[in-house]
Amino acid sequence: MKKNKHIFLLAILLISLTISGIIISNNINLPNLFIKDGVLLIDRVASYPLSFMENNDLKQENEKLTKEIEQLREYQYENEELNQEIKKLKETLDINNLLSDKQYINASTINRNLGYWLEKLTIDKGTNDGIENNMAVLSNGVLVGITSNVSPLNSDVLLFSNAKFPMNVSVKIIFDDQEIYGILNSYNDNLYSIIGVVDNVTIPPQAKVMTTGLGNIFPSGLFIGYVKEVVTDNFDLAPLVKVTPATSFDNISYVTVIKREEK
Amino acid sequence: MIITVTIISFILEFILNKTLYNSFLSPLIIFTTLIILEPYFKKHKNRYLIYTFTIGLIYDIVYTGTYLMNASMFLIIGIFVRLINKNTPNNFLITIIELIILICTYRFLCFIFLSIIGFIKFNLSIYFESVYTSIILNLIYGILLYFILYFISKKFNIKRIN
Repeated sequence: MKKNKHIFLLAILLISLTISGIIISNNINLPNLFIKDGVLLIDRVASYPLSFMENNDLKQENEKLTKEIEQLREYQYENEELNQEIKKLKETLDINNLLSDKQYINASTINRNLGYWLEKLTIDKGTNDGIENNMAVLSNGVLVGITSNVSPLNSDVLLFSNAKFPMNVSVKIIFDDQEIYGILNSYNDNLYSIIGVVDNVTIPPQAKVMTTGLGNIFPSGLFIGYVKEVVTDNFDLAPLVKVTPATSFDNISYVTVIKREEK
Repeated sequence: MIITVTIISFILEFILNKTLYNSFLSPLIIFTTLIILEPYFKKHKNRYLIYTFTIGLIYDIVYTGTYLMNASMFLIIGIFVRLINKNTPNNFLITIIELIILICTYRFLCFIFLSIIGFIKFNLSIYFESVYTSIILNLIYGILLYFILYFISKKFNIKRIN
């Protein structure tokens, strides 16, 4: 009887770990039912009194944001004008979609996992707000991750600082009116790495890195960071571009989810 | 009492995760709660193991998204806690030592598992960093919870295995 119990326990452990291994290594998103939404709702309600203690931070943040809004107004007028110009050009050329077409969904961070290995956070918007899996997520206007495990009220954001880089991103390095294409595929020691870059061009430090819009996930023109240096890979064959992220992964309170627009 | 303490630990985990993510402290509040709660399951061995597995699964779904990983790890740790508590007296000092050993074990099991499936690179410095960021905060929480539960159980005459 006791032996049977041990075998049963061992079987449960083996099966669970195998399933878990498959889910984690293949980044499979499973439906959360209502457990996640329910528990996080209780957590948010219970921790609500604490939000009053954060009022001082909010005041400072509010002042900073007010200043930023004033600057943004200027860009807004310019943006409206450029959008109208793009619309007219699209009509003239009979184009339905541009690589840069996108919609913005703003969200707040409600939970950040400190599970050490898994850099991810939870935001307060889900399928009810139009969020789907694998949408680009910006913090301070800089690409920081993608959405995953989306439930009706919440979504997880897999950060690019995650131990396992969520996915390859097609990027372009911009300097002196030139564009060099590559693949952003890892993050180590606070630096991104870009592979697949041509080796006959000298890339200067501080060159800008942005998404290309190629592929189905990220629209073009999402800012990622600045080039720090160009090194060679382990075999001294291909160039490897090291990129400093343009924003910190430490303090992400508000994010913008980018929905690629397709008509 | 067990369910109340577990719910409070979930809320604490949420609050600490939200407030401490910039610091070097890494809370494992639910994990610590499960270890401290073991003596209050009296002689219901199976119930404790089912409880650890279920709480681990909820933890996976809500906080980490690593379905069944923490459920399995919590179950393994639950078996260890049972074994340790069965063969040692259940006092304050033993609980502290047990907590330190089990945090190291839990982190090691996660590290090995995630290394095997290729999620993280096998680098022992990552493991040691994960251990020292976890121990301080969870030890303090564990000591507080130990005494709180001890006094509550005395006052309300709740049975506890010694």
